[in-house]
Amino acid sequence: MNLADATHARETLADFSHTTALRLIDAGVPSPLDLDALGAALRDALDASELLRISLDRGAAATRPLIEAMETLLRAVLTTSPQLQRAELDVLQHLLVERTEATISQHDASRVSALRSRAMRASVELHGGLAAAYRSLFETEVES
Amino acid sequence: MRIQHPNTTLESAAFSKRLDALGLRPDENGNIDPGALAKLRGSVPAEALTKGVLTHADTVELRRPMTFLESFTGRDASISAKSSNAVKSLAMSVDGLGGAMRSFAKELKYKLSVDAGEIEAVTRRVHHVHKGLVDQQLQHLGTADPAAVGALVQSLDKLASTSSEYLVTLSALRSAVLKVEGGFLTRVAQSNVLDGLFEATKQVEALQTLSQELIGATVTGSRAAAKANDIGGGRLSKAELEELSGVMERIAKERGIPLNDLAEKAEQVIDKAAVSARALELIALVQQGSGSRSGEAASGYGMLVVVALEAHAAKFPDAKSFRAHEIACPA
Repeated sequence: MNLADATHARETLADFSHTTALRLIDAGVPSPLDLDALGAALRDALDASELLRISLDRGAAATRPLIEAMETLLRAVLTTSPQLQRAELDVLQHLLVERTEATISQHDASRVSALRSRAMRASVELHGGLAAAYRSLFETEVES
Repeated sequence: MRIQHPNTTLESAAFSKRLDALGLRPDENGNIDPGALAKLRGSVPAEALTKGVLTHADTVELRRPMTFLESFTGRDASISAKSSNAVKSLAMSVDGLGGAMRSFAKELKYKLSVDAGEIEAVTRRVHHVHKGLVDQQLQHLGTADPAAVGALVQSLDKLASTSSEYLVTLSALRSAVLKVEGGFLTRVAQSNVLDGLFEATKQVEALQTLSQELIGATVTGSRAAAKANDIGGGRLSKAELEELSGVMERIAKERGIPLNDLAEKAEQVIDKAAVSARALELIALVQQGSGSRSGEAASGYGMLVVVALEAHAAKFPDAKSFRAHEIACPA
């Protein structure tokens, strides 16, 4: 990969991460949650994390804008996670405390649980990728 | 090139309003004003540091290492002028930063230990309720004290918000560290700061994972279902998750294989299948120039996972590789 390609790839990944962060925030606004949109955005968050890892493993240098974009994405994931858990707990609350139907079905509760699990995975992956990215950035800057 | 997502909510009215409010409306080419994005990025740390779980004293404490780092910027200018006094001064500042970080880490550990204590208390309560769920089956759970369950739900909800906000704060701190310009010693100091922040992150994540497992077990009422949900969540359909859960439960009971071992094996198979399926999807995405996604639609490989798990338990490992090959090379 030449320098121009590497720069382009980093900019594209940073852009992808920002777009995904905005989609995550947007999908968390409606009540009930837009599970389809959240699911797709969380998958993209996982992809962004994986792409970051792959590019670092191949020796690409991290940049400040790229790291900042990934941190923004991580914050969006972390903001989404409690919302998903709240929806999940809502089912428990209705079933065991209020003895009534929850606002979301048990089928949706299963989906929410799956999405929460995905958000947790994305959070862990992003943290791991960011740790490597920071190291890459500072090593590059110290060497130069 | 910009990655487009035509099937997402990017074009929804609600999202358009949010874009307008944030000054982030894309131009006709889909480009967003970099200045507006920068403003958005800058707004996140400030918000994270001032709202919710952290008190004002916490915020001051958390800001201290940043202040030290920020002071480095000016001192590096002295270094470039080769001033020996400035070098000594900087060395003292590095020591000062180390001391501040040790103090900061101590405070952080204290806070984490408080959270850990809270989680432990919640764990005991969840286990108590969970035992009731398993023993009596969810539909027969008429004896659980509603007030206790209600309090538990609130505790878990608070815990999730607290730990997430904590992680957001750590992320904001890292971003602040990132903005400090400087030379070699500054980089060393920054690395030390970041190591501390990432260490704290790992601890909070471990607590979150525990909390997640507990909630999964509580809501689903079954350890096997919780495991299936954790390893297949978001990748398998509801029916597939139920089947996977049933298979794991049966095999664990019939053969005495630990549930964790079964779950680990199932996760390996799911990962393998997921990588293949996702790779095909991404290739199609690139080739078509389209962001069309199937959302939560199951891609069908969940059944293969169940078959592979059955086969593994029956000591027919070849079946697993056969199915994996079939996934990677669809007709």
